[in-house]
Amino acid sequence: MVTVQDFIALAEELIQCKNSSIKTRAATSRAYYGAYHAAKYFQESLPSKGNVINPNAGVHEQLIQCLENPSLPRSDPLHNLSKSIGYMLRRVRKYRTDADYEIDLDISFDEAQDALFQAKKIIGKCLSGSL
Amino acid sequence: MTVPVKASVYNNLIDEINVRLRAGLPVQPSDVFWLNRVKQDAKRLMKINAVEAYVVLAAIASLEWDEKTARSYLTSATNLQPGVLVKSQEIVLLTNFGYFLEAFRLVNETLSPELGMFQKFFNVFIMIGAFQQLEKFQQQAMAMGIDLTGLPTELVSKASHIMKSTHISDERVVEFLNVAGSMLRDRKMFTLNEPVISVDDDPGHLPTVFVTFLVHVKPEVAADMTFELYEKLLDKFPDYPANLNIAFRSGSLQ
Repeated sequence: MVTVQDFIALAEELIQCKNSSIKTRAATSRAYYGAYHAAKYFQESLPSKGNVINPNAGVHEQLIQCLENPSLPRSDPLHNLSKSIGYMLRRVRKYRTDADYEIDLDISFDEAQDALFQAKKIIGKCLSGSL
Repeated sequence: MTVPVKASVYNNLIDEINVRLRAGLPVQPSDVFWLNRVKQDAKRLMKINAVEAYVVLAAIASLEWDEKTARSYLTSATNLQPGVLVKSQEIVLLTNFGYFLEAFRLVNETLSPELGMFQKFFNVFIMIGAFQQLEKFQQQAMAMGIDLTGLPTELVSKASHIMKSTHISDERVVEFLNVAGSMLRDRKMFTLNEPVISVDDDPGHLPTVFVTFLVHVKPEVAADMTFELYEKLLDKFPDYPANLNIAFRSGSLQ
């Protein structure tokens, strides 16, 4: 069994190799999966599930849509927290798809680092919202 | 023969100041010698072309994060010679200070291709987020035979298409970006270059335009700022659409 922290620890290890494009890409991907699993736990811990806009979308997109469209009342602080986590996860997912699929694209160290820190922020917020 | 000489002094000064602006921070105490020199150059330029000198002084005041003085120099320039040169610098000044909405209201009358400044200020449009207006202007420019080689026209068309298809007007985009602008002002921060734009138009994903402001902070601070931005956006605009994803990212000078 692994935890979200294990994904982040591996991403942190990989990103040390600043000049290795493949490791920078792998770090981006691991960071995303850490954030994805944390966001999934967070979504499951909410009193009610969010709304999916496109039911034909893949599981990752569906999770992001659920987070971005919470069914909780706006007065509930978890409403905006869910949305913010959704927006951030969408951004890190974009980094991850570029890192894994766009092999001709130049993925900068700054972008990989951003993916890692945004992922860490998502995890921190998911933990604070699930307490 | 004097015109190219004048233009060169002005252009050199503006280029020099822009390099500093792109560093993402107001001038530092260690920049005092450089600052004194460009101020002297601006004073000399005043004797040759007061309008250009005021524009340069406004740009210097921006660097010193003195918005009031910068605006007053531009007013002096406008009083002497109202026109596209001064207006376009006003747009630059407003975007530097994060007043994207105010800048947006000036772009149509100032940066349309027939006025001659379109290519030079293409990136300012990107900074403001007026993708739909920019796409209209780029089509107009192409029809006029203006060379747009090297500019991200295809990306602009994609971003414009996504915003149009999701019914998010330019004005709305700019209102959202303005929230990021106010955060930058609160921190006395300029962005490093214009924001990075990318799109996600994968058929299985929500069509999204990503706008990323590069800032001179540590990556963890940029992530904190991004989260704070979403809190502010959702407070101000409860229906803030996920199709426009704005964020801050730690950037290093290229």
